[in-house]
Amino acid sequence: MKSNMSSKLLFINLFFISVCPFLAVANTPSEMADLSLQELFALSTDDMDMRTYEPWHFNFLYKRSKLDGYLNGNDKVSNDEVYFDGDELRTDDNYPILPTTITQESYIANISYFLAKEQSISISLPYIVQSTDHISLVPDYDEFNISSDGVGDITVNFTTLLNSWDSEKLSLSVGVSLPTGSIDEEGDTPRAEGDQQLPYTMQLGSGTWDLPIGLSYINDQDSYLWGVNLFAKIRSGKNDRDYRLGNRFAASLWSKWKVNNAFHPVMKVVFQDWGQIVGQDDEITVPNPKFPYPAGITKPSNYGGKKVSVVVGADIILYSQAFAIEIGKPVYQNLNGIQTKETLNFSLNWQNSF
Amino acid sequence: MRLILKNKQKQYNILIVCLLFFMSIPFSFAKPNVSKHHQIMAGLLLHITSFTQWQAQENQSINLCILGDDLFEEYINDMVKRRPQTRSGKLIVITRSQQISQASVNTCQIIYADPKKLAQLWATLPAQHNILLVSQSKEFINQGGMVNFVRDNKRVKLEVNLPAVLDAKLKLSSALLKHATIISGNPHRKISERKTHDEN
Repeated sequence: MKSNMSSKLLFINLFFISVCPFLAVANTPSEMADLSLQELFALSTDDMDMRTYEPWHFNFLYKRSKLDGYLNGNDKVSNDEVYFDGDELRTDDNYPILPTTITQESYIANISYFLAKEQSISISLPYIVQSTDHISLVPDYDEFNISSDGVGDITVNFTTLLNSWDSEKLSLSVGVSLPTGSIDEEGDTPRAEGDQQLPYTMQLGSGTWDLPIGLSYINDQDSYLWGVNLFAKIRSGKNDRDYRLGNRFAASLWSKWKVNNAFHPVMKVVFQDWGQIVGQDDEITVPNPKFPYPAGITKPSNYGGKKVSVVVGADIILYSQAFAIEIGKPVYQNLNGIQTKETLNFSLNWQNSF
Repeated sequence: MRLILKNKQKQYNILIVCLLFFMSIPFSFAKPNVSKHHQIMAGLLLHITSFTQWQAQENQSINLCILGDDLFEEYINDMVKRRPQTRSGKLIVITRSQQISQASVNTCQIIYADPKKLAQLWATLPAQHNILLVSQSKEFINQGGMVNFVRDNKRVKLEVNLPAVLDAKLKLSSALLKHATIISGNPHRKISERKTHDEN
């Protein structure tokens, strides 16, 4: 399995390396140098889009988020309150297994092909690495770590310009997320000897065919840009394990300043709303009719909530390469049930076109 | 033990991705992030070198000095590689600087000034010169500038302050002027600006 993953990563990288030399043949400045004065005065930026848009775009995105500490709704609760240590009363709100820190990383390769001006299809290939530290009441498992990694759900998107004005654009993106990520990840948990099915957070995909849809508005001024993005991911049916993840909605308001050619600071406010898990994976419960959930992350109603994050970052041109770096911190979280809270997220994006 | 091995395998995977990613960067040639308006302006700037006549005809090259933030980046260099000479056969040389001095200003035949550097330009420019001054600022013509790029919706247009051009003993071809909006700005404004700056 591991060598299979490595081979896939190797393939993606080798593909990328193999196409890079073709980037050098783009000749837009030469074309521009050949235009007459009359042609230059007659040329509009729209004409240039028609003349010079690059058909292939490549993105490589690294994302990392860390979840640490607990919230009940939007009230902070301590690990001691959520952890059932055997001496107190067992309730629906405490558990004998307690995830303490969850780290999630994604490496996403995205390739877009422009069918026409402002109209593209893209495919995203995520590779997910996640790890959770736990404490538990079970002997020999008082402190343990579970991790999983592999290819996530591949997404295919179609993006088109709906309308444009002088300095404004409105775009629509619709797609489909394929259930390519595993929902059968196993690991050594205190439930039994050997490997067992891991909880929802440690799975690599949704197991369902999902429909991502997005609406993007951009207003481009001389010294700054601002915009609004709306996004929804609608889940369909239930997966082979008889559950589906909650629908996800997000809205963001952002602004980007054009300080100079190489540095554009960015600020965003992002609102997210995502639903509880519908159905249940019975394999991750324990045969205790009163308390079937050994950990909070095995209970479907302990998923979903609302979150507002502030994100700061910058678009940077470094050694002729375009990078975007962002750091986000939630300023408001209201989570369903008892859940680990996000503390920080980080992303680094590299983009090229050819 | 199994966990340690799993983590090590994961680290190797990440290492391979990072290594190959960074190895691939030197092979790639990302195009500069020059706005479409600035690509047109770069084309026009190079044409202006052919449609301007300076007093001193003996120069073998036309020095286009870019003062301040360079929004043309490598794009204009690549254009010059394609068209290295003016119509009269003079080599086009591009120099860039954040500061301009009274010693260096006279080496330029054209100065394209970042609007943020206009105060420095006016403070440095001698009272009499033979340099074509180009910029992109609403106040440029009123301040004594000669050729101003104007973003007109999705196109680029030219404003020309003819009195300032003539005052600097420059000639612009009618082929260029017929595309431009002729504005009679104050040719001497720059001198008064310079005096004010000196007094301060």
